[in-house]
Formats: sequence, structure tokens, C-alpha cells
Amino acid sequence: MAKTPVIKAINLSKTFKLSKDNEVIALHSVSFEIYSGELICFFGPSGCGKSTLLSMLAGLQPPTSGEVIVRGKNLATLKKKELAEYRRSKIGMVFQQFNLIISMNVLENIALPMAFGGMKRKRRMQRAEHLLEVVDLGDKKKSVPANLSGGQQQRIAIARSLINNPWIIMADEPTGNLDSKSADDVMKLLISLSRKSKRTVILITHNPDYLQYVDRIFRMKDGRVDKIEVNAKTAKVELIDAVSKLDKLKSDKEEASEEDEPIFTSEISKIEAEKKEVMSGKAGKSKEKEEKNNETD
Amino acid sequence: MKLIDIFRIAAGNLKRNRLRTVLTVSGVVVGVGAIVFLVSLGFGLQKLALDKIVRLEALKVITVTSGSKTESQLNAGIAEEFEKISGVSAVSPITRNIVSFKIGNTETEQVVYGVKPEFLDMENLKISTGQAFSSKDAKNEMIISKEILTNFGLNQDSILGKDIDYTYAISGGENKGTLKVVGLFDEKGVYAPFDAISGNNESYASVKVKVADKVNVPEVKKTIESMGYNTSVIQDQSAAVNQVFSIINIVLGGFGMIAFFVAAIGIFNTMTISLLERTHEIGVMKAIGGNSKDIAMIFITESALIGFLGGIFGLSVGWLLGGLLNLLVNFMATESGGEAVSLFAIPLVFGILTIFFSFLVSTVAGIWPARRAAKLNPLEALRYE
Repeated sequence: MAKTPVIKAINLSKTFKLSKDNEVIALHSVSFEIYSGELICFFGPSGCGKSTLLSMLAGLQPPTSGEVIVRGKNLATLKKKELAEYRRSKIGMVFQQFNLIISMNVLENIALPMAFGGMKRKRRMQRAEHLLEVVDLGDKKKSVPANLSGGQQQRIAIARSLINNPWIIMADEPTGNLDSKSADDVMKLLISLSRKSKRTVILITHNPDYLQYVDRIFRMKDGRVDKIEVNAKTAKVELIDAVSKLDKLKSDKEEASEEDEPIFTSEISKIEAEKKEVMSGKAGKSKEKEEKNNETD
Repeated sequence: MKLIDIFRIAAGNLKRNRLRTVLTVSGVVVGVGAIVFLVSLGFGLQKLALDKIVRLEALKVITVTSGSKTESQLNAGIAEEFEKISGVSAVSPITRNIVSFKIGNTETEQVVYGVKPEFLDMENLKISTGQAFSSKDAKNEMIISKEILTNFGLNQDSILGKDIDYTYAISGGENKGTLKVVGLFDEKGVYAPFDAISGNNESYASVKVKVADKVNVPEVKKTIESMGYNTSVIQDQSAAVNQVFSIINIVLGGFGMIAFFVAAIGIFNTMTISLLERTHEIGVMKAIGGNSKDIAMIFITESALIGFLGGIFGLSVGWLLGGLLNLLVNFMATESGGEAVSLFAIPLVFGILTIFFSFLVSTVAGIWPARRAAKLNPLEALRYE
């Protein structure tokens, strides 16, 4: 296993302490690896711990135990400032509520992460304008978020997530607040981002309609990754290739470089291992919902 | 994050809550305005008082009197020496004689000061009726105080131009002559040309030494003192006046400070509410990579901006208010025949300091909300609605 994943989660657990003797376990020792260029979906009912998991991958909260390793770096070892830098330039976040800054116009919103990085205004605005074209809203430069539809706002948010050219896009229910037409647009955009560039996209959804587009589905339930499915449809050519050349690839991947390696080469063997791990996971613990924690927070 | 970008975001936030910003700034304007108004009144009165008692010319004059030692007598030779001291522009010896005047049957004794014509300028003696000595070499003229007219039993019109006989004692005899009254003034005393009345006086009562530049006064004063003479300058009095007014200014400024303190609490309040309102936004900023320091700086910049704007407008308002009141007072004063005066004065340094002070205090008022904003947990902030 010499191949380095983009994100590696090792025995991630999260426990919320509601009071002295009332703890809720949101995540039970979850482990997985995500590779460069993959389009991943965490799928499960609300309260299964997917948002908690994503926030730990994004370095927004530390796990109670376990480690998140992104490109070989353990997030727990990063200082506050480095963590901010990580969120700014290594990942791009897309939220359910779009979360644009209402006092800024569209371009300023898109460019904000770059402003936090101390980039010159002229350069940021150029890049923001370019991204505005990418999300097909080139005519909305001077608009403020309040004058845009939900779907447009979400596309702006996606443009913002791309501004620092991050390795990973994390989208938490990006279509949750959208009508189906806008939702489709947003999903198409996210999928094309994953397909055109080799960016890793991690998606959280509870809408099964989109599962057909993703490469791998991490089915979550009660704070555990229940099952990891490879989507034969989207992964088709590569996956079939991968299966047929499995033996050859197994030896090849030892030398494969981190950037350029094909996406699914190592997956087959990995999935088997992870499945085993999930199945044999310490079942039958607390089934309390994550929502509960959120409410009491 | 660049400072200019922090500034842009802060200014944007202030614009977003226009009404609240205006109200908070108004609080500062009232506070700063009160300080400026009251303290400038203090400064104005101080200036007025100093102008009244200390004329600019008078500040350059050193009055020299003879020292305790017998050798330190004031005489012509010494006066010449004074003139040689660098920085001295004029020297006017003063003699003092008790002279008896006779008009008809009325006889009266007066202290008469023999002075040189330039003395009148030094002392800023204003002739109210008639004129000063007609020329530098005028001999048989005198100017007298209105107060002593009664001693002669005459009124203003009848005494002007009148020749009055005089006699006074000198060592080994007496001096006689006539002096024509050419001018009258409000202050006390009788002045006659030095040459006319000094006679063969060996020693002077005092010598007025005028220094060309005010800055050199202490130096010249020291030189004269080292020669064994006593000196006095009017500046000593102005120092006391300044001291009194600095206390008055502190008290007035203290009243203004109360209003300003309330304004500072207003800023604090605004920033704290702003923090609550923007908790979610702060969460977003942190989630997309803003670091705590930048977020704190945005808050501090906002409150500093409020203070800066309040300082500028407060200064203007205080200044305008003082100006208006001054106009009103002067209008009433001139109506009743008084003199127009300037009651308010804002020294430049004080104006700049006020703005800086307002800026500083508001910045401090923003520190706590800023720190809280910086410490917010991003995830909790994101959930906050």
C-alpha cells in the first residue's frame, strides 16, 4: 500500500458531551481513504453523522479520537493559523445555505478566500470574473446575493470554493435548498468539476437521485460507514479496465505517482478491506442522533 | 489579509447598517463635540484674559529697578550699557519726581514720571483724548490721567492745550517751568518728556528695557540680573493665568468626557450587537479560510472607524457651535456698545488630539467584541442563525 490517498481517515470518532453523564456518539471509529480525482458521496439519513464527518475532514472541529490525514499531513498537528490556511487554499467548502456574505457583491464574495490570503485586489477580481464565467453567471458581476436565485447563489458559492484552486471540494447538501431544476444545474457543475479537472469532490446528500453520477458511495448509518459502493456506471470504462488489469495494476501502483495515478486502480482491493472493517465494526452502540447534539450546541 | 481589504470589509459593514452606524457615530459626535465646545470656551477665555492683561508688546518689556546694593544705581551710564546687550531694541529710563502744579490759585502735588516717547508704546498707553507727545524732542508737554482732572478743578475740554506752571525740588534748588497738557488717558499717573522733567536727576526710578524678540526675554533678563539689578516681566503673571485656565480647561474637558464615556459605551454596545448579528457570517468566513486575526481586525477597524468619523464630525460640530454662540454674544455685545471678542479658540494640536483620542478610545471599545469574534468556534458559528 504505497499509494498515498488525498484524504485518509483513521478510526475517526466523535463524541458530544451533552452534560456530565450524557454523551452522544456521533461517529464510531470510521476509517476510509479517498483518492485524487474521485467524486465521493456520503449518503445516509439525517443524523447519521455525515456532516460531523465532513466538518472534521475540513478541519472545522477535531475528532474525539482518530486522525484525518490530508496528503500526508495530520490535521491535528496544524496550528490554528495553518488550519485556516488549509481551509482557505486546500479545500473549498459549499454549504446547503450557500452562505454568501450579504454585504458583498458577487465578485467580492467569490474573491473573499483570496483576500484572506492577502492577494492583490486586481488579481483576485480577475480570477473571480473568470470563475463567474465558469459557473455561467458572467452577467451578474455587480449583483448582490440578495438579488440572485438560490441556484445562482449556490453557483456563486461553488465559484468561491474554487478561487484558490483547492485539491478538494467539500459540498454539504449543496442542493438541499434548491428546486429540482437548480439542483440539477448545481450537480452538473459539481460533476463537471470533478470530471474536467482531477479535483476530488466530496458530496453529502440524502437525495438518491444523484448517486448515479458519483464514483463511490459511502453509505452511512448511525455514525458508521455501512457500505462503500463503487458506481459501475460512472466508473465504467476505468473500472472495467481496472478490474481486467487488476493484477497488472497491483504491481504498477507501487510506482504510481500521487498526482497522476488513475482513480480506481487501488479501489477494488481497498473496498474489500473496508467492507470487512465496516462489517466487523463494533456494532450496537448508541444510536442517538447527531441532530440531538446540534440542537443542544 | 491586507489592511486595505480589512478596511474595505469594515467600511462595507458600517454601510450595511447605515442607521445604526449613524446613531453610534452621533453618540461620539455629541461626546467629542461637548469636549471641543467646552474646552475651546476655556481656551478662548484664557486667550481673552491674556490678551487683556498682557499685550503682545508688553511681553517684550523688562522693568529694571535698582538692586539692593548701593553701587547698583540706575543712571544714564547703566541705561547705555543695557542698550548694548544683544537683543535689546529700546531702553527707556523713567524718573519719578513729586511735582507741584499751580493753576490760578489751585496748587496740587503729583507724582510725575519722566519718560521717553517710546515708553508710551512699551506700556501700550492709549491716549483717549488729545494726542501723545507731539515729537521725539518735545519738551514742554505732558499727558495726564483723567482721574486727576478734578484735582485741577477742570474738565476735559478746558485742560487740553493749557500751560501749567510747575516746580519740583532737585538737589540744591528747584526746577521751574510750564508744561502744556496735550493728551489725556484712562490709566493713572502723569507723564512728561524725560528731558523736561528729569532735570539733573542722578538716578532713575526704573528703566524699561524692550527686547526685540520675545524669545530672548529670559536671556536678557538674566544678563541684567547678573549686573545686580532687579527685574520683573509681565510674563510671570501670564504664567499664573495659564495655570488657572489649565485647571478650568481640565474641569470643562471633564464634563465633556462624561458625554464621551457614554459614547464609548455606545460603540461597545453596537459592536457587541454586531457580533451577535454576524456570528453566522463569521462562521462562514472562518470556514472558507479567514483566520482569527483578520476577523478580529475587521471588528476593531469598524469601531476605530466609528471613533474616527465621530472625532472629525464632533470637532466640526463643537467648532460650529462655538462659532454660532460667539456670533450671538458679539451681536448682543455690539448692540449694547461693547467690544466684539472671540470667546472660543481651538488650538490645532488640541483639535488633532481630540480626533486621535476619539479614535483611540473607540478602538479600545472594540477590542472585547473583536476578541470574542476571533474566538468563535467556526462550526458553532455556522449553525448560529
